[in-house]
Amino acid sequence: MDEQERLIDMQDVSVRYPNGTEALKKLNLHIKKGEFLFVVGSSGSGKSTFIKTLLGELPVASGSVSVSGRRLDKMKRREIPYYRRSLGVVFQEFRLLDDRNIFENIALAQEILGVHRLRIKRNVGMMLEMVGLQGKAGAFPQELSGGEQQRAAIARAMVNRPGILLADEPTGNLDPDNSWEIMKLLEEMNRLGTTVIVVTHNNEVVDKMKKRVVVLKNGNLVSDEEQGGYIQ
Amino acid sequence: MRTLCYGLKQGIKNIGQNRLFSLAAIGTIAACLFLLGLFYVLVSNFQHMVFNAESAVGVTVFFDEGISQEQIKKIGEEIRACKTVEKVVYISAEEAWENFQKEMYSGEEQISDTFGDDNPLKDSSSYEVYLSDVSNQAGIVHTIEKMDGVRKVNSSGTVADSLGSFNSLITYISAGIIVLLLLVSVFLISSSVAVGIRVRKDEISIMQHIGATDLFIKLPFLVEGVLIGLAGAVIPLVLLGFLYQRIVGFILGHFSVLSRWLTFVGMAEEFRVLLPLSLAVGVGIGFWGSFSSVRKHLRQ
Ligand SMILES: Nc1ncnc2c1ncn2[C@@H]1O[C@H](COP(=O)(O)OP(=O)(O)OP(=O)(O)O)[C@@H](O)[C@H]1O
Ligand SMILES: [Mg+2]
Repeated sequence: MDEQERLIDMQDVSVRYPNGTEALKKLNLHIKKGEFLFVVGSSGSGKSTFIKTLLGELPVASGSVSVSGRRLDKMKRREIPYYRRSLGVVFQEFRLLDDRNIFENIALAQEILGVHRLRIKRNVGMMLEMVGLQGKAGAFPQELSGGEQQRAAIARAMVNRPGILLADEPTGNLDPDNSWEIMKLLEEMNRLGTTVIVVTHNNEVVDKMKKRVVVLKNGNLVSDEEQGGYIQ
Repeated sequence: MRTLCYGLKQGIKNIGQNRLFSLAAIGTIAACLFLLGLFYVLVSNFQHMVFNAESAVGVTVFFDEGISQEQIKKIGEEIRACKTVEKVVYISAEEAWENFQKEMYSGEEQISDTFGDDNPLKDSSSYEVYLSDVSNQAGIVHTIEKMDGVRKVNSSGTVADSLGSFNSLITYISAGIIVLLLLVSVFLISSSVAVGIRVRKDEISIMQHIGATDLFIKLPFLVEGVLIGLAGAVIPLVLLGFLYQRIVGFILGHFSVLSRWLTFVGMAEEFRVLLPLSLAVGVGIGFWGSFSSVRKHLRQ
């Protein structure tokens, strides 16, 4: 593989929690720009740890992680916020702020960058339309269904146009229909050029979508297949 | 700039959501600064009055026995030539005696009569020297003492000294109470901020995930602390200003007899010191309290 094609490059990456648990063990993984990647594995296999590592939330114990040419394992603490702006992230529990409406939740990501108010308005409007939430701008998270909340969360993750979208079990709290809609939305984001990494337990989705599948087991990478299926 | 706007908005929101703690913190700071202000006003007025009393009493110069009027005149001119001497008044022996009689035997004519026309203060003519700057008193006294024909110089330094030691006791007690209240204020603000951080834990983690800088996350909490400090400073200032006018007005109105001694410092003059002092202490405490709490609870 060409060096420049590698958007994410992990070499012999080990990650340990403060209590000593080694949750990723000498992981080697290369992800190209524009890929759509599923990460699967049983509970406790290290999937969330993988996402947290890419977010710069956990220190890399050994090995090297490079994202868009930036060495994560050598990054200083104060550089991490700026690095994170090149990523979008979505979680199982949506993590919207309950005391702010949908517009404000999405706008927050742009406020952090210091984007001008008028441009925020335009960008958030565009994102709301993209995820099918036009008309819900003034609603509060509790007033939306789970599927709608997750779509709002995706809008927030994507409003700054990051090159990479990370999703940790984005459909874990959703019924099959809503799950499919979210996956379609993620695929749409990928089609528009974003590299998408999705951690999931949803074997049906993984089998049907025919994407690259990486399998983790006890912190080891045990399988990596193009157009793979869900192997437990 | 936009970060500051955001910090201000969220900081005010924090105070609203954390009403009980915020009010307790504001109340404590206000009490503390009220005490500080009260103390300052009392002491400054006290000093002002002592000062006035001193300059009123001035310095009294007595002459050698059997000195001629000529020489007395010469001494008077020499004293007048000194710096910061405002006024020199000659008190003849007769005047001194009359004053003395008035003060000591008022209403007891028969006693004063026993002296007849025999002035017991025969050699007690004197100069009363009034200074424009009392702090220079010691120097002037020294100079006059060395002049030819001067027997004795009385000055009011001793009065000021005893008042001073009484002053310092009040100072220690007040300072103790003020420091205690300051510590309580810092504790309350940092607790208030800590509660805010706990309540907003999710929000903080979300903000960190979407790439908010430390400053962006901390600013609302720092703003919260500073605003609490500011509110805690403004309340006692307003209260003191109001009370001061009222009380001074009341005293001057009801005890006009004493108005010769009870000269008060003007309110504008008091506030020239009090205003920046209170604001600085309030804001300082607010910042310190929230900063220490943010540093302790917002480690990633
Ligand atoms: N904060 C933590 N401190 C210590 N150990 C942790 C922590 N979080 C996770 N672990 C451990 O690290 C390992 C991997 O956990 P991780 O959360 O990555 O699993 P996962 O694949 O996401 O599981 P799930 O499918 O249940 O979400 C597990 O053994 C877990 O017990
Ligand atoms: Mg997980």
